[in-house]
Amino acid sequence: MVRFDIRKILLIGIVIALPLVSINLQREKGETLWFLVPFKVAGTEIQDLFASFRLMVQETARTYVHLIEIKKENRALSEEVNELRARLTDYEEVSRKSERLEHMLGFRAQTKADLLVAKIIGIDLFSQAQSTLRIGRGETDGVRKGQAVISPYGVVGTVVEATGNSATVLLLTDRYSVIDARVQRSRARGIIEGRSSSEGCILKYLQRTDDVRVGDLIITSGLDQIFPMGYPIGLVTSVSKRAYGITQKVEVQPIVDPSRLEEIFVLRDLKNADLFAVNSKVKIPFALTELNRHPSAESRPLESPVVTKE
Amino acid sequence: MSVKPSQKKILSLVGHLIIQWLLAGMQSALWPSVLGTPTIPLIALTSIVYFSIYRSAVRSTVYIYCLSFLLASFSWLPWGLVAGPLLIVSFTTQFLRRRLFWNRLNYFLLICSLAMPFYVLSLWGISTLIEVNGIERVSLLRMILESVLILPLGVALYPLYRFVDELFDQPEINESEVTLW
Repeated sequence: MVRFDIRKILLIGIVIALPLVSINLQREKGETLWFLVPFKVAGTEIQDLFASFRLMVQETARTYVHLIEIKKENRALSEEVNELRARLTDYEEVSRKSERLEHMLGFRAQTKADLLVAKIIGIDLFSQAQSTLRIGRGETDGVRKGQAVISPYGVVGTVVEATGNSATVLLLTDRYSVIDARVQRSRARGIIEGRSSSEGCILKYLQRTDDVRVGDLIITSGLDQIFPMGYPIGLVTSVSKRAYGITQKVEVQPIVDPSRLEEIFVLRDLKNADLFAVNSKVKIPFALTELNRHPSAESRPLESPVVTKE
Repeated sequence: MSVKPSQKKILSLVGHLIIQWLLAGMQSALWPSVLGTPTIPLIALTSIVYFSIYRSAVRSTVYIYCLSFLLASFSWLPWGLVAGPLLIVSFTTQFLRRRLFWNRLNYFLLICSLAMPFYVLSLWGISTLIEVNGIERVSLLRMILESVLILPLGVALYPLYRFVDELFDQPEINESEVTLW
């Protein structure tokens, strides 16, 4: 016969009934039972811990995914930046070229001279001994030996050799170059002789008593029948007089820097050469007005305005 | 088709001249735009040194004459002033070779480096002696820079010269295989 232990049954009944009773009590009061509070706190803590861990993992994973995306995006942006930089460089180059050509066209439009635009295609192979340029225009374009070569800013040199489709230009800094010149301010006359591309030129045969100062502008005299009168050549950088002798030593820095030139003008007809600005009331060589308005990379900067009445 | 040794010699000479023609064009039209004008070593000098070392005096003289005509077309310098210093450099190199020679690239580079200032001084000397309006002065810094700059050019061009020689003709000095050092 099965014997029931009343005490055990009662105990089991109480154990089972307690939670059931507590459910009802909680629902009714809406408060946590005092004995459940520590468990709640502990649970919350562990939940918080795991939640933080989950968030951290999620954040890390998200960051990693973002990093991959960022890396991809960065690569794409870098490529785009490089492309844009290349375009910008191209644009700047085109812009500069356009500006340069605009100046040249402006120069040609404002003068009555017969000017031929020529592109520089090379320099002298023996540049330590000879300062010449090779231009991509020759006899077929009307280029002849002895013609003047200029830029909108000043004298460049003279044509010394012309073949079918190219010509050699002797720069004014070459040791064989001589140009009849004047000091613009005092009208003193001398001969500009080249020395080298680094040393510039020297103004020779200037009388000891002639008035010349550092900073004076040297212009063409027009007497050599190569260059038109009054075109800028260079600026006086030093004047020295010896204790004896009838001349003085005058060093001149050319206004045009040949190493920076890309295009030049060949003056085909000297007789009709009028390089003076058409619209100017006072007759000023276009080069001087240009120099004062737009100091170019092709020309050396002028310290002060040098435009004076011719 | 068999090519006679004399024809090979001519072909080799023409091959070297074509290379120098291309290099001279590059030097006068491209180099100034990329690296500027102040320091341009005469690239053809490496070829002069090469011929002076690996060819007989007659063959190198013939080559220099042909080359000087070619180089003069890239300059306004009188032909005599182009050929003169190059011949002086060539004869000096040959004189040196007979007394001191080892068949290696470093020898070629050493001679190239020495030939560069020697060439500039020869040019200056001839110009001062012969020309009415000779070269006034020589830049020491430029000479040094050119002597240094010709070294990498020599390293780059030496295999090319060897290649042309192997293609058409064998150099007269057939010693051990030329190595770097």
